Amino acid sequence: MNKTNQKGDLLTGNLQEDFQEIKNRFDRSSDFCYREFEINAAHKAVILFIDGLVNMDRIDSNVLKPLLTYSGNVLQSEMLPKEIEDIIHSAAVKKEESLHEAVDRVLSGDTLLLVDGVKHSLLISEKSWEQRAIEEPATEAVIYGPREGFTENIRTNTSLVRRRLKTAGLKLESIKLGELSQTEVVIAYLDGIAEQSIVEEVRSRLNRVSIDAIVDSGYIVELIEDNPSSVFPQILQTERPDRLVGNLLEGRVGIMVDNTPFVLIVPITFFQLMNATEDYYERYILASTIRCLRYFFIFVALLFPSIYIAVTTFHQELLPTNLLFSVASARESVPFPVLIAALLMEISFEALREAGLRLPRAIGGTISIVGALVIGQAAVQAGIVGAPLVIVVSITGIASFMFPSYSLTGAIRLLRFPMMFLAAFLGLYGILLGFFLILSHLVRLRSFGVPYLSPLSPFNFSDLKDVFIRVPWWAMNKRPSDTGKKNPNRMRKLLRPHPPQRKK
Amino acid sequence: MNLEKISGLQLFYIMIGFEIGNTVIFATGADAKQDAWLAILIAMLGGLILMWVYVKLFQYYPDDTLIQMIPKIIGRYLAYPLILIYILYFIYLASTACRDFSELIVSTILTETPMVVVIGCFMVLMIYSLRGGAEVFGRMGEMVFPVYILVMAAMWLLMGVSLDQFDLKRLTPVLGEGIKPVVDAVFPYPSPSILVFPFGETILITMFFPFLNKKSNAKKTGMAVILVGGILLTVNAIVMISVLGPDIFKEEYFPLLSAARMVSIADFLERFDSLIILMMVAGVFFKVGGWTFGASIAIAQLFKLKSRESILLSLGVIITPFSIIHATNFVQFLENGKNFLGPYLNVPLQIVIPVLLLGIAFLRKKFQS
Repeated sequence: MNKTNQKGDLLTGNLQEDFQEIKNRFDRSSDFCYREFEINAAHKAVILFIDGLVNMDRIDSNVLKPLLTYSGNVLQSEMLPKEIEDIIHSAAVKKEESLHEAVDRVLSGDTLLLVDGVKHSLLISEKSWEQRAIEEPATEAVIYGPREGFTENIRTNTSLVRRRLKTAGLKLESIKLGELSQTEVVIAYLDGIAEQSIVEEVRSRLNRVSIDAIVDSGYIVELIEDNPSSVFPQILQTERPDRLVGNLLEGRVGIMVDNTPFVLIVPITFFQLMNATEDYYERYILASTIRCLRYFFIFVALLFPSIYIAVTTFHQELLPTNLLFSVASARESVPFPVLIAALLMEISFEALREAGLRLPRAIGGTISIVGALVIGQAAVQAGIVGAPLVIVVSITGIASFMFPSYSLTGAIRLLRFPMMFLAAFLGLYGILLGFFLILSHLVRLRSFGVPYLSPLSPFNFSDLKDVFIRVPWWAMNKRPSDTGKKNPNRMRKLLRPHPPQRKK
Repeated sequence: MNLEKISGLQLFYIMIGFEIGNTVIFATGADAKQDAWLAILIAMLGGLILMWVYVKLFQYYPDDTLIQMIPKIIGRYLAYPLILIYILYFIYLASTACRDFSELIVSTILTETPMVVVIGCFMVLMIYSLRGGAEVFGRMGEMVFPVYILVMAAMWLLMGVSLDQFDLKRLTPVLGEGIKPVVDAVFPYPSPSILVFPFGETILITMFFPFLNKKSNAKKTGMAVILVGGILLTVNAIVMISVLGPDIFKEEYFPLLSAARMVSIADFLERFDSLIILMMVAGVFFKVGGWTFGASIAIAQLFKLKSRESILLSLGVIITPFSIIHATNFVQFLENGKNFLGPYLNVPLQIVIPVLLLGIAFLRKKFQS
């Protein structure tokens, strides 16, 4: 947000006044550094910067050295003399009249040069700071595929995307959000492929945000989503550049935020939360099978404890007789109704999972084995829960780890508990009612105008090629129609490879 | 009032679920014994004629639901009582459908649960879904109905292939008792009549026609609903009579349940009746939803209200107790259906009045032009 119209905002040209003004603003900041000197023993000047944000070597050699050793004539003028500009050996320099803007730029890591008698200041950009190296993303590890992940520096992130899309059509619009944090937020999209209406919507929603600081992209997610009261995520967060690039190519818009490696992608559908990046690199038959397995396990993760409760409480006739005997005998010794025992187990499992996040890595692994086996086994032997229930809870837990998106896992984990209550009170009928309620909710959700369950809900047969299965790359001629209508053709048709014909 | 748009396919799914959701469980056409399937086919032809009447009315007044058409055809003062009757009719039928399936659930799977809980929870789901409007309802249809049909088809296949009792000879002698029982089962007097339940109930489609995004689809969708529904019901009747025989088919309240109980795969997966009941709940979702939605649109259009959401809440509050109090037990419920609902409500409101309305509309158009 610009405040360039404030009174007394412009530099006066009087070095003492300006310098004092800036020093007052940076009062009690121990990393604020300056050096006063004279150019050619005639003109007073001062150079200011924030220690830790600048490259000291370059400031010394490209800025200070030429200025200190300058021996030519300097003409008196209110504009910054051309001679002084010419001797500074940096590529990124900018003249600045406004005091406020200059202070902002110094806070971002620029170096400020003030010369007595000159109303312009010179901002020299020689930024350098410590940052994390590019490493494999912790939350989205793959077997095949690149191992680069986004880092906290937005310039590194934009360069990772540029290297993968070497086209001028890749637009990276930058805005600053957060009054105190002045976080740089970059909107990335492919001009000519992304729908202008979606880009416009993203721009308007981001410009609406008026907050003191943006610490992580998670803040932005909650400030711009369509339906904040839903448990289901409507914005995808990813650490992988290849995933962002793949989505940009389908017409979606990426939102990169400084100081966080998580990039947001909008608009998305439910099925994209279930797609893993690996599916696109492995062979299509294996990828399709694993996808189908994943969809099956959604139902397991959501419904398995509820089905167990419903079947053992209301519908015992559904179990084959032998299984019924073993389940019944396991339940003989348990004093609680199935709902209470299941709730106990599920809540303990969730506690174990959360505790596992905080444990130091050395004992983390051992605790999970100890927790699962010993506590489960001991609980069964003490008669607190039945053995089949331990199996049900562990399979549910494993199933809930199968999803590539952590926010979706969270949603499913949450929804499991109301389903268990419904199953305990109304059996399979209750499970069906709960399932229909969830389905009604999903059908109403939209992410930036795209229905959440496309292409299943407004049914589009050709888009199903990338939902439950993944057709081979030579068959993916067209982009998905929910976001890619503007430029539907991706590749030449009939690209299926054939073995070469041999001459006899 | 803002009308959301649904596609022809979505309307098709809603109406098919509406039409057969309830009916596959019951012994439709049982009075004709082994010719029940024939009775259904003949009733389907009658249903096609009725659908033609409804579609024609829509073509005379596009953008209008049935409720908006009536004042335009017979004048405002005659229209108000008729519309009120239709609203009460929709609410009554919604309650009947609720009572139907809750009797089934309470008598088979949730024996200790009070009926008000079963119906109450269902209406909560109903209100939540319908608050999204016709669009949400249509999308639910798109997602739920194909699964429903797949499961039904799998059931029929299993019954046909794995059961020893399956014997197509039970369908013979075709027309063994003459054509009279078949005709009796089709025509409204004496009830119960297949023409009226389920085919006549498709009058509800007139409340949904204005939501179509392409108005020219109305005729195709309507006819497809009757045709496909009729064929599915016929297949259902054939399979059930072949498994159970015409006499048991006639005596049972829920023949599909009895037939499903017999299915057993590899001595391992058996007792499928819970699955059938769940499927019926999925089907009844569209039936009760359809009637409730129709009633809410009718009330909104009669009183010229802007939003439908508050009406839905009050309808839910009315339908739940009404479904319990209108009949004290299942036998009385069936008697009500046969003696009161059939002759006095279904026939006039589904058949007589639409035909009259069409006639008057036709004459009006003729004298105007």
